[in-house]
Amino acid sequence: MLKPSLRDNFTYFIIIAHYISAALFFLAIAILLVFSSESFIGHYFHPKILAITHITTLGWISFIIIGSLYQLVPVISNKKIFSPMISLVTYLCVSIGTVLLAFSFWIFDTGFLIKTAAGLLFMGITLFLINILLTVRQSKENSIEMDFIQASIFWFWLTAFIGALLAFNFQYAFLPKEHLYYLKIHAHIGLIGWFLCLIIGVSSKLIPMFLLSGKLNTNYLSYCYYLINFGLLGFIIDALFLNGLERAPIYSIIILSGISFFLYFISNAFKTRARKKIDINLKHTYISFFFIAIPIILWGILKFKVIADKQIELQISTAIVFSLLFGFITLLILGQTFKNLAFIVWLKKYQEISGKERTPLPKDLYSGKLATAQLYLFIISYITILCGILMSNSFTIKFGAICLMITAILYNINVLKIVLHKSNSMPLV
Amino acid sequence: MNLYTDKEKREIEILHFLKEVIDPELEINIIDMGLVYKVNYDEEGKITINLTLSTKNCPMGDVIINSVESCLKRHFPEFEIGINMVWEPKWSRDFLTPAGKKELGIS
Repeated sequence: MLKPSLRDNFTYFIIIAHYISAALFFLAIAILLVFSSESFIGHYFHPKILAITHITTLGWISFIIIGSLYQLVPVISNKKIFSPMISLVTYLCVSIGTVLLAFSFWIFDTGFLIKTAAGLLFMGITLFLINILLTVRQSKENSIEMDFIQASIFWFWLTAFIGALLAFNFQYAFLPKEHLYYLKIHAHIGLIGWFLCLIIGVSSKLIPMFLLSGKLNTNYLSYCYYLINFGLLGFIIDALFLNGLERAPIYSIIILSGISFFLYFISNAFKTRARKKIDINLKHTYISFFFIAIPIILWGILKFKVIADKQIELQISTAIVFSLLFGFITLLILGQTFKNLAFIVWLKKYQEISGKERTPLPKDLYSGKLATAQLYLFIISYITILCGILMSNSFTIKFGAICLMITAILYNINVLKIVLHKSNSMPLV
Repeated sequence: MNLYTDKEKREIEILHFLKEVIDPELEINIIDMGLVYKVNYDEEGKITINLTLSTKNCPMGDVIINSVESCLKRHFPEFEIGINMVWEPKWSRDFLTPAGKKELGIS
């Protein structure tokens, strides 16, 4: 059993390891995008797209989320993470699993390598689920935010489970329907169940707190919770055991109505905020919530057959996933990293001496100018890549990918600046 | 004519000192934030503060509490410091002072 101080240090270093790894994965995504821009023209079931998508979803987004949850769950539940040692094993399994998975997709090795990767990922994610559930179980605090977080982790586990089945299905082809059919289910659970539920749970707690919002009606979050989770559950049961994907648009509308309750809640948080001056991190958040409209509009165009062209439909499908992962989630993360990571490092360095000595503020731990440049460069890269995908133009995608690479470099510099921050307090006079 | 008693003068002085305590996230002092509900100066050697936070699970809560304690210990080294966390009434933007509103950009 670790001593309390050692246990806290251990958890701190695991959180930092997640942020650093995620930043490096983000840079890797941008570099891979530069060298594979032509893969984004044509069917999305392409080895390079699969590799980049899995680095994005696991190495980049999930790593940031897992690192943040190790800090956030104790704050919400008032309990320390059940086992920092399990966190370490999760980190090792997911990081090695992600690299192996991406590599096996890139070279399209569907044998031993991909199965090892899938096994490691499934084990790591199962341990993560157990660790968080055991942490939350010790707590008496109940909140809708915590319900969202728990549900999202369950969906994460299910995504990994179906993903592992798909990895084995490459070689043994034991699933009754075609591979792509299950890939769609896997992607929907991951995007809606894991990412969306998690983002809703975390941001409905953090955004009103950062903005000092007035009294908000959390019933909207409850409606959102039930609509999204029942919609997704209905979609999965129908797809796996009943009528296939025929009724998918109905479930999509249920889920979209859930999302609209969340957006209404967030717009109220912005409207009633006492903090009128919005910093660069919240600006990222603000814009990302506007960008969520893009995949929804694209989805509408696809579902209502506005453009009846197979090639364009494929490009729109790729664009929907890209705009969800980048326009919405990545932009949200790019801003929130400097809020959360700077806060985590600041607490570690200055909590004990705060009030006794003059300390820098969390915002002094990173460069605001770099964060501003990062925001504008990211918007340019996102819009450019999105247009490139929709127009099937690999040169445009490559140009956008180069901008994304510069964005990722700026992001990495700022992340390193925060984690390498040296204490520099001064005596109070 | 003396408008304030010695006890009241001391309590005003304490409020003034507590302006040194800044919420590191919002960059506003806790007095202008309206987080201090009550100050009690007991000449027999105890200062008690009724303090709230903008939200119950505020991650900066411990930092603010420690800073209040350190600040008062520095100015009143011979006094015992007591901090009561109070959640009623719940903090709202109405508790901001005009200076606090200006800092947050509320016109």
